[in-house]
Amino acid sequence: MKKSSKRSLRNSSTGGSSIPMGWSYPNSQRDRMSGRNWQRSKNDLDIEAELEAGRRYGLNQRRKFMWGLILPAFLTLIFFEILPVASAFWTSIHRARLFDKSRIFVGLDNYLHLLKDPHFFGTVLPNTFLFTFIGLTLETALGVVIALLLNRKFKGETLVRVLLLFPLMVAPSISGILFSWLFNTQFGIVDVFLEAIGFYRVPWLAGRWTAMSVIVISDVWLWTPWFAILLLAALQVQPLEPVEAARIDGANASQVFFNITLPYLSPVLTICMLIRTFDLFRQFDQTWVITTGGPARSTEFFSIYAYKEFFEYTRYDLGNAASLLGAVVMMIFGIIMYRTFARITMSEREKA
Amino acid sequence: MKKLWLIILILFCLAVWAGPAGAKVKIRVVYQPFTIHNQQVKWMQEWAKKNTDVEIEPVPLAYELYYPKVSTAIQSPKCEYDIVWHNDDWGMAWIDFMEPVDDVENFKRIPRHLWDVFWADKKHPRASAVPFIGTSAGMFYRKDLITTPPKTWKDVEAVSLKLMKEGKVKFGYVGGVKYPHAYFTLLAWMWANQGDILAPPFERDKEVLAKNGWKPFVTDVTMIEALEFWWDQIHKTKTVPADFVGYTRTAAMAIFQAGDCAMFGEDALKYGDVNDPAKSKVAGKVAFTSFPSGPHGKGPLSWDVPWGWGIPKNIPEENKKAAKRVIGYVISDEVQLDMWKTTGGIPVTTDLREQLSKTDPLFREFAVATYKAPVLVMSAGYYPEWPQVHSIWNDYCIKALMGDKKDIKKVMAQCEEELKKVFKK
Amino acid sequence: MAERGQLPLRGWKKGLWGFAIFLVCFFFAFPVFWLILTSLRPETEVFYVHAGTSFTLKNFVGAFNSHQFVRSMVNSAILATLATTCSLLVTVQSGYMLGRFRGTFRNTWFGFIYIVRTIPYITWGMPLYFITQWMRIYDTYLGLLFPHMAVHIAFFSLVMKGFFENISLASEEAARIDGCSNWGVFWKIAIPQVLPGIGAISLICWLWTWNELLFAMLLTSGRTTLLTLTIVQFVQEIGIQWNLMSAAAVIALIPAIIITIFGQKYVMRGLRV
Repeated sequence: MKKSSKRSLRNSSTGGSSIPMGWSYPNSQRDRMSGRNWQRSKNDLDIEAELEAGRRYGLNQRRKFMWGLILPAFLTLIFFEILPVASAFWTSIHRARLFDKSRIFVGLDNYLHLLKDPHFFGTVLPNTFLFTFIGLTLETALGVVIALLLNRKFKGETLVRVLLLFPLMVAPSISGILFSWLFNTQFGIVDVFLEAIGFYRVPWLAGRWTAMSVIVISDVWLWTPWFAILLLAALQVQPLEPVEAARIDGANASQVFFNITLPYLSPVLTICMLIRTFDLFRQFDQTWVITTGGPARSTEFFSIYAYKEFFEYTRYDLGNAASLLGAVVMMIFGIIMYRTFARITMSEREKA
Repeated sequence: MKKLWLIILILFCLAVWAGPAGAKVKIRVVYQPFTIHNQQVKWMQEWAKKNTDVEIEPVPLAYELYYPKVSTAIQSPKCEYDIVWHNDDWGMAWIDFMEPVDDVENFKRIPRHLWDVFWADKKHPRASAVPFIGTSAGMFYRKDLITTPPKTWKDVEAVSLKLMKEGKVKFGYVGGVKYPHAYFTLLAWMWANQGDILAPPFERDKEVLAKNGWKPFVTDVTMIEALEFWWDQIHKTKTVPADFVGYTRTAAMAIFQAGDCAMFGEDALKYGDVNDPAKSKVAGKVAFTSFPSGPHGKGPLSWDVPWGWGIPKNIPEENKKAAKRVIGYVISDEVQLDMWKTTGGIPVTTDLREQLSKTDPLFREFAVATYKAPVLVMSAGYYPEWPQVHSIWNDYCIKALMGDKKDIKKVMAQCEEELKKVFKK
Repeated sequence: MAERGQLPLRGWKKGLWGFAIFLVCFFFAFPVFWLILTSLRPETEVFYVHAGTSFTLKNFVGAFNSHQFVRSMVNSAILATLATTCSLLVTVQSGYMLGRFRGTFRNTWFGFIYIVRTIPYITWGMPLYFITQWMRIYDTYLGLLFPHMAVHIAFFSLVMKGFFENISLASEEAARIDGCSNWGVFWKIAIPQVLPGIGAISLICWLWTWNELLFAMLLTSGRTTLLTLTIVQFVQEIGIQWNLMSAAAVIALIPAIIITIFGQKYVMRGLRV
């Protein structure tokens, strides 16, 4: 998905001819090859396979090395992420209210309570899924469009890129406050503008769908640049021979895009989509600041629901159960998505 | 590699090195950073300058997290705070963890209703927090547009429509509606109509409420009338902005300060903000009165509840002694007079109140509108489940206001079911 | 205007393209511009930012004077730098392991990280309040450092994996033949080739920690105040002080802008690796 920076595209010579297995090019020539990285990778895999066969470095040493590599990360994650999650789970299977220290074991009662809560199923989960789906679609589409637009050399390129990165520099909570202010019916610039052009002032935060739109817009504003920049980076090193070949054959712009550019972008695109899906699903900052899940809890997402249980109702057991339930849903979802897209996201060498 | 680990070790040590060291008694005061509290903490620090054996460390904490975070802290074996800001409606939740404080200097001059019911009960007869300022609320109105302050709901509606027709204002009455800002609209209206969330209305003794089975009172005609009034204002007469149900206190105050509405419900101590020419376009044109009475009401309504300082039980004895000395100072006349002058908060000691009523005409106006109002209510519930009950009730009221007028009763019936579940153990 | 694999634009198409670019810039820059504008307006005008013409710098003075503002800025900067440095050390190693090896052990680690990403912050944030107190690192740099590191690890191990997979193995193999140890190969051969990628990631790590709010709220108590918390301080029970808050937010934006402009070229180069 990401290409070596040493490649020079003009000198591409082999342009996709097949390379016999078991043979590897010297470093410099390999670097000058274009396009089909995955064929080069196949040979690396063979080298590695030989190494890994334990010919020079025994299995134990390799194991030790791997552990040495991940030990700090592993310890950090265990103590500061797994341990808290285990503690959260323990809390969720007992009775834990702020002023009720009884801590009786209640088994899965809290989870059942959630599953039986019509609000959780009827409003919170649909909201979350809807938001994730709409947000993802918009961010991906806009990201691709913007990356294509910016994929040209022009004066002021750097300025445009910096302006595009502005949303990434603003804290999500601040951006939430900013958007709730921009869409305020009395003082927000959006409604002032709408009124000026003859439309009426929309009471954005007073209705379920209008408030949801504001949340979606703020999330799109915040994260589309992330998509755009990553896709732009990929586009900037796209090998041009297939494109040129297609042009010579008479393909127009949209054909080039759908048949060549889009497949080329798929690995990057898919990984970004996966990452964003998780983050959209557990989104909290903007929604809390803009609507606190209102009006009348109609724009609640599951992280807001969990937060409310924690801090407003101080029902820690239900709060933990809600967020863990959401995590389980996301995990299942994530595994399904990964299986579906795995073929595209894995660098081709992994398939070998 | 060795160099790397050395660097990491140095960073580690730097990171750990955050420990304080001092021979003085250090008092950590946790509070929400609002003008009133800031002023109080400033006086505490002044006192510490004169009493050098004590050091004051202020710890402002965002209101969002205040209640759960401090609640957890006071339950831990050694509380990290020595003085905590104590809202009246957290009294019953925190009462087991607070040190009795009625032996603080000047405490005896405080009227009983400012600490009874929420900071004391049969099991804990001694006050568990010290009131340091009286907060009360009412209705600010434009005295250049309104000559006689409205006393009933009908008056409010009539004067709003009249002024809107004359084009003098865009809206009539505004106030916060979103949780937890609905004191000045939904709650005030409900109470001014002799309604309440739990039955019997206006009862605050949790023993009585428990004996009554914690029965909700939200489907009573008093509550429905209040909701129907606001429904009309939003949808029919449009004397309030279209996005009223999402309104916070800030947004409401902004409208009043901009001169776009005629009446504005808020805490009395916002007088400084609405009357400051640097902040408000209507400075000098503002007067204050109690909340208007509803069809079942017995007169204009207000309340007189305090904010207080509490001392957690789980701190060293010498910290407790020092904390009591500090608190005794900030409820003395010197500080209380300054609080009134700089922040508009109402002093807590009876004799000082009387003295100010006689000498300060502005104070007299506020006294008449607030703690001398015809009907006084305690503006919260004083049982541990209050925050939850308040939040649930607020959500259902907003839902009722967003739907059809004929569905209001149905929505409040759902609210009743939900509230019953809260108290079912 | 040269093209990259795209046909050059002529005439009205060029105009349309220019207009589209303008719209994009407007949409993404406008809210920040609005924020800056709000911070420059005096308190009375903060609700009618678009009308009126008075400007003032008093809000910035007010923001700087608020409780421990400068100290929280310093704390945030220290924490961001600490967290980025420590995370990089740890994440790069983890990414290397994911990129270079195959087999069940490595797949387990991959799955572990992938699943850890699905857990919402609040689930493990709340218990961390108690755990850091138990470990006596509550309200210190360490107490904040480790949770931030955990987030960085989960996020960037996968990205580093991609970087490492795209650099060639031959140089590593050559070094091994010459007798270099595994760690030597890692430090002397592999890392220099992914430096641009590391640069890109450190930028994003720094910005994330600088702007983070939830852990700041939960895991501090006055001794280690952070900037995002101080900004949120202006949101109170009693109302929001827009003018001060926007001024504080703009001040928080400045280091982020500086670092982004400076690191922007690394982002573009690094992500290309």
